[in-house]
This record gives sequence, structure tokens and C-alpha cells, in this order.
Amino acid sequence: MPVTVYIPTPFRRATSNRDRVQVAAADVRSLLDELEHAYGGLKGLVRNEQGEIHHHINVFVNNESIDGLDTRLEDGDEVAIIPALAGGEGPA
Amino acid sequence: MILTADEIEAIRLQAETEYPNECCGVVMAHGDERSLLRFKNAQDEMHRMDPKRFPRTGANAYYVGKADHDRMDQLARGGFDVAVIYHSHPDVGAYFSPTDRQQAAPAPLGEPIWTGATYVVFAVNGGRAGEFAAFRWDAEARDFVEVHRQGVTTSAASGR
Repeated sequence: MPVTVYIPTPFRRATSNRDRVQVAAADVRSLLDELEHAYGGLKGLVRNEQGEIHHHINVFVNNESIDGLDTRLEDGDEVAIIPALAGGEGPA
Repeated sequence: MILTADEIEAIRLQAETEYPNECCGVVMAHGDERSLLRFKNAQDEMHRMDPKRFPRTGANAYYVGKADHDRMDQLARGGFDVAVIYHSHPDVGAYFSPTDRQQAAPAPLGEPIWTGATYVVFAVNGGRAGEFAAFRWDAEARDFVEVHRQGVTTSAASGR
């Protein structure tokens, strides 16, 4: 059984407006590989050219922040990709 | 119209209540229907968990946590879009800071994640809201530009 991936509203143009997609993957890195392979429009939105998750993107597995790309996944897990909604005064 | 009078009043109250921290939230719209979602500023929580990645506190930054993203998603499933993303600036004025710009249109995208949303910043000075300013992405300038600025008056009903 694959994991379910929540696609945030701003990224749904890359998934034909689908808010959830199913992916079979053993860890977060392979999940993102599979996602980018299936939905080319996601390339560059979640990870940079070095394959690292952008600082403004948070990935959750079952509502918990992941430790890194090697975070293991189990069948039935729910993965959420959330672009940061953040800001504040002063310099970046 | 960027915000209704009721929305301005609700945000004013939230901004003053959460002072000296920044407050945050969104207004989502579906046709003529609007819904204001007041968010919890999760910046302090993020700072406690990971001070290296989140060196700021809620006094000078805001961060929307997953639970509030889920609330947005529930409305999005009903056809609502994010119309306004708002936050407050305690004691520094209503301006779109470099941090606001960087978070709204992060590198390497260089353009807004939340396409079409208007960003609104409320100034709170000494615990009282003074004015707000609204900013929208200008595709030609490839930058956010101020599109509205308005003083905030305290309603008689609030007793202030």
C-alpha cells in the first residue's frame, strides 16, 4: 500500500489540481524522486538542484516534521508538503 | 476592497491582543463569501524547537503551523482561495519588510508561492493598531508594491 501525499494549494497546478496523490516509496527522498518523476511541474518547487528541500518548504509525516530526506516511510503514512507561510519585520 | 470593515476590526483586535508579538491570519474568499481565519503565531514554538533554523521569536516574526494550514485546506476544498495574508508589526510600522518579501517570494522561485494573495501588514504601536498597508505582486516589476494604506480607527463598541 502506498503512502498518501498532500499537495498544497499553490503546487496543485503541477498535479492537475489533485490535492492528494498516492506514491509507493520507502523514504522521503525516494518519495520526492517519484513525485518529481510523475509530476514534472513539481521539480524545483520542493527541492533545489542539489536535491535538498528548500528552506521555505516543510515536510510532515503523520503531522510530525521529518528529520531529513532519509526519514523512513511505512505503508499508509500520510505525507504533507507545506510551503511556509511566514514573515516578519526587518532584514531577511 | 481589500478588507471589509468587520475584518479590519477583527484583525485590529487580534493584533492588539497579541502585542508585543506579531499576529497572523488569512482571509479566504469564494465568490462573495469570505472567511477570516485567525492563526496562532507558531514562531515561538519553532524557535524553541530549532533556534538555529528559527533564530527569531514571535516578537519580530510569524510562522503558520500545520494545524492552521489544515484549516486553510478545509476551506480550499470548498472552493475558497487565499485572498489576504495578514500579519502585524509591533512598533516598527506597516511596511513590507525584506523578510516578508523573502518569505512570500522565496529564492529560487523568485515569485509568490501564494499566487494572487494580497499581503496586509498592520502597524501596532505601544499596543494600539495605527494603520495597515497592502502589498501585491507586480509581475512586471517582479516585486511587491504597495497598493493601499489606511488608518485604523478604534470602534466605539470596543470601549477603547
